[in-house]
Amino acid sequence: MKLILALDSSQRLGGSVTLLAEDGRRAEVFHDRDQGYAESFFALVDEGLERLGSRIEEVGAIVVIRGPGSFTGLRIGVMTAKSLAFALDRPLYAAGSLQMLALAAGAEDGSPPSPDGAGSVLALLDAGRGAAYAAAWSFSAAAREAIAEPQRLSLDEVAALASRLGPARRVVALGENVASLAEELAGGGFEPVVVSSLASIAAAACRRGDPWCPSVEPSTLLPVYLGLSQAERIHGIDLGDEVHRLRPPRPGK
Amino acid sequence: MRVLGIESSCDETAVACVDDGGVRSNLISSQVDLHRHFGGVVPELASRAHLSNILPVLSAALEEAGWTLDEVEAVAATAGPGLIGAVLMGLSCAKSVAWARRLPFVGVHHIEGHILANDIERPMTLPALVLVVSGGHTQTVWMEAPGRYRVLGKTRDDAAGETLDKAAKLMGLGYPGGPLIEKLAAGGRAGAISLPVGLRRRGELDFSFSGLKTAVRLRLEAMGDEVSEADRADLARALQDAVIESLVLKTAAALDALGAGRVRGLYLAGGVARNAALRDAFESLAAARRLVFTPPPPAYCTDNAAMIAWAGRHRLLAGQRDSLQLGAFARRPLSSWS
Ligand SMILES: Nc1ncnc2c1ncn2[C@@H]1O[C@H](COP(=O)(O)OP(=O)(O)OP(=O)(O)O)[C@@H](O)[C@H]1O
Ligand SMILES: [Mg+2]
Repeated sequence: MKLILALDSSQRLGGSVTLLAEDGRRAEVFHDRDQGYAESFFALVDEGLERLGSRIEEVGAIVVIRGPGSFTGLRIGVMTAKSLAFALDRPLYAAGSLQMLALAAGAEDGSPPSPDGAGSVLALLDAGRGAAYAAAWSFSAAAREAIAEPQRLSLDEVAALASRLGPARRVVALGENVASLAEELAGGGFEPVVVSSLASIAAAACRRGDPWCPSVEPSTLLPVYLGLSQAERIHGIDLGDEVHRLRPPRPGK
Repeated sequence: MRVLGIESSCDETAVACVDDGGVRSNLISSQVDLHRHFGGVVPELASRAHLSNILPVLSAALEEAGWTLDEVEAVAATAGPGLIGAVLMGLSCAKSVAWARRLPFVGVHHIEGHILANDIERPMTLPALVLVVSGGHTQTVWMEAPGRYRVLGKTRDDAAGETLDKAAKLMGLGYPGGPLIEKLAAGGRAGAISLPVGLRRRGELDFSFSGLKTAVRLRLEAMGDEVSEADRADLARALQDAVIESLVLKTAAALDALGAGRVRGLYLAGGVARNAALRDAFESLAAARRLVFTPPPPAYCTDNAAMIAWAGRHRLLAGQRDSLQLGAFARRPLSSWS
C-alpha cells in the first residue's frame, strides 16, 4: 500500500508527522514540546508507521510544509523531506503553510462560509516580534483567488487586511500571538476555524492532487522564508538568489 | 566499510566517500564568496546555503566515488561543535539517508575529525600528542587511541586561526587570513618587529592570543596610513613567528607535563596546520624529542568531509552507533565526547 508521508516543522510549536494510507487510514503524530524537531522526526515517523502496521518501503510520496514559519524549523523540515525523497527515490511535494490553513477553513472541499456559495478566509501564523504571516483568499466551490498573497505584516496591518474581507468570512490561525488576534476577529464577524496538524491537511491535499500541493524537484526546493536574513537587513544588502545558488563542488586540495 | 560522510559545521558544504582503502571522493562547496560581503561567516546565510547545496554535493561525491546509495554501508555527519543551524543541515540529511536506507549512523565531533585526518593515509603512531589549531580551536590533546582523548591545554581567548584571520582583517588583507598572512610573511624579515607571546611562564599549558592581536593593532596604528609593503611583510612575519612560537612552546610544555615515554607520535590538526613554517617547527620539535611526526595532508587540514567520514568509520568499526534522535551541539569539549 502506498503511503503519503507528510512532515511539518514549520512553526515554532505544534509540528507533526502524518502518514496517510490509500484507504484513508491515517496516523498523526505530534512533536513533543520539549524535544527539537531535528531530534524527534524519525521517532515520530516510526511511531506513525507502527500505528498503521506499515514499513518504510510502503512510503510512496513525501510532502513537506515549506513555509512561512520559523526559519530553523522550515530548514529542518525541507532538508529532511528532500533527503528522504532522494534516498527513498520517491516524489516530493511541497505546500505553503498559509495555504494549508486556508484549505482547512473550507477551500479544501469548497464549503464556503455563506449559503450563496462564496466567502473568504484570512489565514494567520506567528512571525515573532509582534508580527504575523498573513494571507487571504476568496473562494467558492469553483475557484480560489488571492485577496492578499502570503506576507509578513504587523498586527495592525493584519487588522486592516481583515477589514477588507467581505461578509461571509472565516479566520484560521495557528500560533499563540495570532490566536488572540483571531479571537478578537471572531468577535467582529469572523467565523473561527481551528486546525491542529498542517501535515494532515497537506497529506490530504497531496492525495487529491490539489494545486496547492505541487510536486517539486528535491535538489532545488527552498523554504518560503518571506523575508531577508537579519544580516542582510542590518547591512542593507539584498543578496537575493545569490544565497541559494548552487556552488559547484571541487575536490579538497 | 563504505562510509558516506557529511560536514556542514561552518561555511563549507562537504561530502566524502571513504572505504577501507581510503578516500574515494572528497568534495567541498565553499560559501566564502557569500560571507565575504559581511567580512565573516553569517550563521543564518550559512544554513540557507547548506540547504541548497548538500544534495547536489552528495550526488556528485557518490558519482565521483563510482558508488550509488546501494553501495553505502553507513552514514556519518558532524554533530558539532559549530554553528548550530549549519550543523543541523548536514545532520538532518545524514539521518534521513540512514533512516531511509536502514543504515547505521554516527555523529562525529568535528575536532575528532580534524585529528583523525592524520590517520587517513597511514595509521597514526600512538599514543600521541596532537596540537589542534583551527579557526575556532587551539588545544593540545593527548590521544591514546581513536576515541580516547584528553585535552591538556587550550586557549583562554582567541584561537590561533582566529588570531590570524582578525589580524589579516586589520591589515586589510581579506578573508580567510591565515594563508594570506603566510604568503606575505614569506617576504618579511625575521626579528624586524617583535610581538608578544601570551602566557609564557614555565609549566603553563594554556594559550593566549588576545594580547598578540592587540599588539598588531597598536603596531598598525603606529605605522600610520602610509605603510610600505616591506613593513607589512615584516609585520606578517612577526605575527606568524609569534603564533608559531606560542604553539611550539605550549606543545613542548604539554609533552613535559605528560612525562617521558607517554607519547610516541606528534601531530598537527586543523586549518592552521597547512602553514609550512609551523610544519617545519614541528619537524624540529619532534626530532628533538625523538617522536614520530608526519604532517597531515593539506587537503584534510581545513574543513572537509573525508576526515568526518574517516572518524565516523573508526567509531563504526568500534561498534558504536548513534540514535537518530542525536541532536546538534554548538560546543562540547572533546574529552567528554564518545
Ligand atoms: N596556510 C595557512 N596558514 C595559517 N593558517 C591557515 C592556513 N590555511 C588556513 N589557515 C587558517 O585555518 C583556519 C580554518 O581552519 P579550519 O577549517 O580547521 O577552522 P574552522 O573549521 O573554521 O574552525 P573549527 O574547526 O575550530 O570549528 C582559518 O583560521 C584559516 O585562516
Ligand atoms: Mg574545522
